[in-house]
Amino acid sequence: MSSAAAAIRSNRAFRIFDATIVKKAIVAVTGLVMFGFLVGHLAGNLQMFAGDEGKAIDAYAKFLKSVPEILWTARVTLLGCVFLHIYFTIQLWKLKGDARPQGYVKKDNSHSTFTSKTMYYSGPMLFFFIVYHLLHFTMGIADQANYFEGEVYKTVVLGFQQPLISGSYILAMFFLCLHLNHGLYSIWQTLGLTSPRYKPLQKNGAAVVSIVMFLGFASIPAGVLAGVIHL
Amino acid sequence: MNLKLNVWRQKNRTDKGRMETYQANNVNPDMSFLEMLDVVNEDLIASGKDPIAFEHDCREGICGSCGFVVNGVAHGPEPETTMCQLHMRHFKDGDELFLEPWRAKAFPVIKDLIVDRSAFDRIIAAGGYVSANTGSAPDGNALQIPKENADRAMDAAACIGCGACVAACPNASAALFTGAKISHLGLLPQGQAERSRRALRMVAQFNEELFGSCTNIGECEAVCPKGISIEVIARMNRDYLAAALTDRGAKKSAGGEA
Repeated sequence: MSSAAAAIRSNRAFRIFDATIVKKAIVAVTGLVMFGFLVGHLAGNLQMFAGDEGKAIDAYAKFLKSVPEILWTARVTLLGCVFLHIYFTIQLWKLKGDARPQGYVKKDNSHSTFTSKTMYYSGPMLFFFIVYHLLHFTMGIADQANYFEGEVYKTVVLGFQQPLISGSYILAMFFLCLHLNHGLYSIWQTLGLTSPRYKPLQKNGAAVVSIVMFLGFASIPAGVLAGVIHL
Repeated sequence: MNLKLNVWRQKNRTDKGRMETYQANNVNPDMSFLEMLDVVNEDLIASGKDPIAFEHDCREGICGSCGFVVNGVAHGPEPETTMCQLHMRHFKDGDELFLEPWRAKAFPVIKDLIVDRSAFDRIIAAGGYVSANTGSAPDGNALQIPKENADRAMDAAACIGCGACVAACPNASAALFTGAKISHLGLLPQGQAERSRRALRMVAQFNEELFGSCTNIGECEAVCPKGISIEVIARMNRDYLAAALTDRGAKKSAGGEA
């Protein structure tokens, strides 16, 4: 075997596990999957505004849990996405330090957007939020006194009537907005699915969608605080 | 005009290096930045000191030799301008400037503002070539190339390998450079033969040199003296991902190297 062939062989293994482009592509794809979940999650959550004292959303929650196989497939897929998204991001973040061990005395990063520069902050904030959110509404551990199994509407209203809780949810959705603003655009660039023709749409679309997601999710704790959603 | 210069001084690869302050007096606004440094160096030499080392060659903005960071911006404040083409009229009397070499693990400092960019040469050697018959020149227009592709290939080929993209990137990524080289050849019919192997090998080398990973923020295109867009990075990603999944490897390709 020639040395060229040996080099390609080692490259074949290398490119799957070590290539930064593959790692970044995994971050992009898992991000897109998680965003897809968020769209469905938001659509379901907006039933809080149905004005039927929770009949619709409680029935919807019951329906989601009616087929455990599907529920758990979705849960495991999403947890897998969260894990891969974070795992590869940490690897790429470490590389950032390795690639420039000595920094600049003066460095101008004025061409980066605010949201792109804060991905390493908005991401971890979302992680902590998701952990709290699962403890709160999924497992009923965080706010036990106001948790009623199977009664989604009541649990959410009682939870969000506490300003500290609704405030932190709204803040978390602000971080989501920041993260999506760069992330939703970045996905297309990372996967190479962009062109000068679609780049403005992808960039502006990401900005619009991230704000819509913020307004949509934040409207529920805000709606409870404002008394629009009540028991 | 009079300027205060804070310059990175480093004797050799092993020296720790430090910032030192110099005064540049009576600077002619029509001088290029490098000519201004030449004058500062004349004074340093006259007073028996070591002149500030910086790389330069053509001084016409086309060779890619010169380059360092001025006040945090690679190649200084003017867009699409190399250091040698940056004129002192863009600065004001009394300005304080910080001059630093490109900072990247893959670009070790050789002396003062000069870094070793041979990592770029190794990326090129890994796949930045095409198979071409030698001998007589081919007939003009024998090979049809759409105008748009020729233009885009030319835009990417404008890369002079100066390294500003790496210097400006918060991740010290060489994605713009590698993307430009991959796009330049991959857009042309002559570059199709090695297209997938080229993407795999050049990116593998770029990772091996310990350049960082691209985060799609665009600091590189903002400082590129040739105005190359991060569209070439998207193209590199696309070529690489497609190649990683579809390249058959040397052994299985019909008539390929054994």
